[in-house]
Amino acid sequence: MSVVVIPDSVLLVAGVSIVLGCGLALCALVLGAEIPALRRRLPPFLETERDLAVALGWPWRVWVVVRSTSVAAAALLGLISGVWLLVPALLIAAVVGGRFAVAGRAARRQLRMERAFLAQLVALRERMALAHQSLDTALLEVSSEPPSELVQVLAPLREGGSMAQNIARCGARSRSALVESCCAVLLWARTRSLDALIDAIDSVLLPVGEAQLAVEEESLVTLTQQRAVIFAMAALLSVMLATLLRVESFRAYYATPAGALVLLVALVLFCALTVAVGRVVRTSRWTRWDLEAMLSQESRPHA
Amino acid sequence: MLEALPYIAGALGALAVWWLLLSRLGVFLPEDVRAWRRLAALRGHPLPETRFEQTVKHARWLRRAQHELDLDRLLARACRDDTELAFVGKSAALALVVFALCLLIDAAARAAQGTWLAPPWLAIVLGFAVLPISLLELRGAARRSGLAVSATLADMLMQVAVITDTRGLQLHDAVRMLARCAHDPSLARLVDQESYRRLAPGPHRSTVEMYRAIGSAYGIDTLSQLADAAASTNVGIPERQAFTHLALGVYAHRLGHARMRAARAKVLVTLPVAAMLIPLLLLIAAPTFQAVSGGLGGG
Repeated sequence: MSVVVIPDSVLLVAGVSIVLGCGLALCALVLGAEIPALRRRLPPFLETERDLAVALGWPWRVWVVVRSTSVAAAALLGLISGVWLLVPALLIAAVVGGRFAVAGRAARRQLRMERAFLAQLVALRERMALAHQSLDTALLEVSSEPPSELVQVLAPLREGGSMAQNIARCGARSRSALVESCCAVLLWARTRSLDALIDAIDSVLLPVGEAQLAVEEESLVTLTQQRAVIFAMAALLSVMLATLLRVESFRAYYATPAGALVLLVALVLFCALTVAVGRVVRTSRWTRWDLEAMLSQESRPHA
Repeated sequence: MLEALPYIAGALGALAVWWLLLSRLGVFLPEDVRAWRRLAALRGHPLPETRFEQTVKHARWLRRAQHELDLDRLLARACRDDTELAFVGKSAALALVVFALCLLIDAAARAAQGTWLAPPWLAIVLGFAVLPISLLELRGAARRSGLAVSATLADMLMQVAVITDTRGLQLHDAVRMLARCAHDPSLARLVDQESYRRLAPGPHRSTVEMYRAIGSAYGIDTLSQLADAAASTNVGIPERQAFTHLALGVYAHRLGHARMRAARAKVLVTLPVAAMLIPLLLLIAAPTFQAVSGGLGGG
């Protein structure tokens, strides 16, 4: 049995470095250093998944089943290929690529949903201004026959109870910055007077909402370009890899350590270039709002 | 054993310096003295400088380096509460730990296999590399924080217009309240938790003056524009109209920017697309090259 012996000098230098490092870290803590990793929120992986499921209009359970199945299929495909490196590569592709594959469709559907929401706001305004309905009645009637994109989003409005709570739940359910923003404005403007609310919809919500939609549409065009490029290159790479792996000699080469290294380099290059395309074609992000917190702020604004 | 003596002396020296620094920093001070100092710091009174701080302050090269690196500004813009010394200490600690771990792994591999896994100087290089990486990370955090503050401010203008108009709240109260409700905490840290006092300590006579000072010190254009809009409400323009117009202006700017990026992306995207041929070629060429070279070697 071989005994691992580390030279004394190395142990001494490493030990002193660790002691010094710990001492400096203690000094930094005494001086009030922060540890940014502890300040950040939890990894937003699940939040992003939920956003995508809502944007696609899929129930959460269906989305989880689809994602799990695709990951399992990727692992199986990697095992069948006989190249061990393809197992983690395909797993990563299933997790990241699956999300990427449906992101365009999700963005388009979300844009349709936001456009439909603005149309419903116009209908709401008409009901209050022309039919002299109260906000609660108008919201109930608008939500009774919603367009298909808004069925899930407007569902809380049909459930009765506190209208402020329902508006907040409506915004939270949409997982869209524009709808959350509009719901927040409704929360703030609803308690003064009907005329003030109609005025707020006319002069603030609709023009600003339209402007926001215009930016989102332009971003979607950019996003579509980016996705088209990456899809084409990913398809080309996959077809080429599949064709190569059908040949016995190539498969034998990629099962060796040298082949695995080449495959790894090619995959890393592909991922790096995909990230580069993403950085070149970057779209603007919108601020999301915590409507529950806003509701509690709204109930005691001077606190 | 004799060859280890310089290392032992170095280690003892380092420990002595460390203990000296700790004592200079007041770690061994009585609890009540530290509590009084903390209270004085909270109330904004100047604290007596330690000799270490005085030395650092009078070292010209250090001041020059600090000015070049501008750590205080970067830390403030990143909305971090660290002092410059704390940041440097944290980075140095991380660098030393990285160096020690790399060296230990390398030495363990040498002990197991008889050869170094990688040249030992690589541990020093990796350790030193932590310092510029920390600085780059800080610069990135400062940039991201600025962008997030601008975006949150721009996206809250619609609500600010309604809140100041229908609820009669003051602009600053509305901004603070909405900042607390945003998912991104950057604006809340800057405005609500008053971390702006680091670069724009005041006192400020009005919200307009304060927003202009913060916008200028932190490089946040939207805040300066909000200050201008707020100033226009002082001469009779309704708040709703002023803030709605500002929101529309910001979105028009974003639309223009998005169109410009879309047009530019059509050209820029060709570079990564062309480079995507490299992994494709690599996949075909590597086994072919290996087969050819193997055949030549065997023949």
